Amino acid sequence: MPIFRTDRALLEKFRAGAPEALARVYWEYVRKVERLLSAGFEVSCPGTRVGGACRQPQDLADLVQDVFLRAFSEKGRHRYDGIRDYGPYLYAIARNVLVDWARVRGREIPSSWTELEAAMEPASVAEDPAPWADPATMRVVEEYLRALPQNLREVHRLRHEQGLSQERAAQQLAVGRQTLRTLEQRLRDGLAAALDAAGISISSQPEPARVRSGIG
Amino acid sequence: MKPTRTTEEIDSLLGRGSIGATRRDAILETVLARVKAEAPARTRWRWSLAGLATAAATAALILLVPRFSPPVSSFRAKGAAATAPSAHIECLGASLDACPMGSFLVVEVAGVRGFVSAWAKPRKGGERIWYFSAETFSPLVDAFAAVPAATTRAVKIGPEHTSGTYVVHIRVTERPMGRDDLLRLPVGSVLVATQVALTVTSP
Repeated sequence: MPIFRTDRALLEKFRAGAPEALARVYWEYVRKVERLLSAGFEVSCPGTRVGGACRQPQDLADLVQDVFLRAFSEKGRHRYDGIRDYGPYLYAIARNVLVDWARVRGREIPSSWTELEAAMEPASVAEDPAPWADPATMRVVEEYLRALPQNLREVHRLRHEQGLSQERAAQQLAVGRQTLRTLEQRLRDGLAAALDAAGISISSQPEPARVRSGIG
Repeated sequence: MKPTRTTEEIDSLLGRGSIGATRRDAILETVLARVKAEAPARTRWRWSLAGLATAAATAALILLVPRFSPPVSSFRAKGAAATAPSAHIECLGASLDACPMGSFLVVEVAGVRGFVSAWAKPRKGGERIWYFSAETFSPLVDAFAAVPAATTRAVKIGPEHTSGTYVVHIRVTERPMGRDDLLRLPVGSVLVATQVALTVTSP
């Protein structure tokens, strides 16, 4: 159900920049925006594919933030007409951000607003099964997730798979937010211990070469 | 030595390559702080009623770069920069003279391309508080052509701060630099070196 269609009061609060309204819209769309930015899209007329940032999680996070900074700016909020669904408007901003990102990397891509609104997502992200870590790390993570106890499995499902806010996840788990934070920390600590046990380290500093590794 | 991993890295793995739950929370906080900072003063009173949800108290939680970091092929770009190399900080929604605990600091860089490091030193003495360095994360920024300053990054003023005045040191360098190197490095050998006074107040 489009978010503003049945809630005009929410639209007014959103336009006024009220944090609770912005947060609601954010949590409604953040995972979809993330998927779009990760997978990329196709511009229909020349069949141009704009690759996503799925191989570059650092960039992906920056792109997601840039989309919401633009969409939630005063100009971005008031440019939305309130009549059409909000999703396509937001996705056009996301495509615009992705096109800018591609341009920085030296690609020329047609990017009129009409084209960006009409652009298509790739048929399936699975067509581009980018590994999200090296095979050894992926194996450790998958084994760790398979062996989770029920409560941590639920935390993982709600927060990491469904992308719910802490508030909503805590509601669904019928726990307080502090308890949820404790469970999230336990989830992270467990994975860190599993990686340690497997002798796997992670470099927190992206090398320029890794940042440079292009788009699809 | 035990490997250093950030919360965000672990979260990204838990999300199987997604940006992770912690980063999603952090993005929302940064966006709300930025929207609030840009709002006309007349609308801010409404927000004080609404109240912003606070995130888990993470020491100097490093948030995200509103502008993405492009690849770097040349740190000293060819041709004339749109503006002279510079860097400064901004306390979102407040001022450097009175930046309440829990606020967000952004580093703004102009006229240069490189890796940002930053730390705060209490004026009355005490431990340095590191915001950006190679040990944790040193954002790669490209603000060469941006006018007047385009590169920002947010840091939460967390509980490791106490009320008082700090001197915030900012460096922009061609490579990510470790803390020891940053403290040893002659000021003249970096792309940008500057320091700014910041007064942290109770929330």
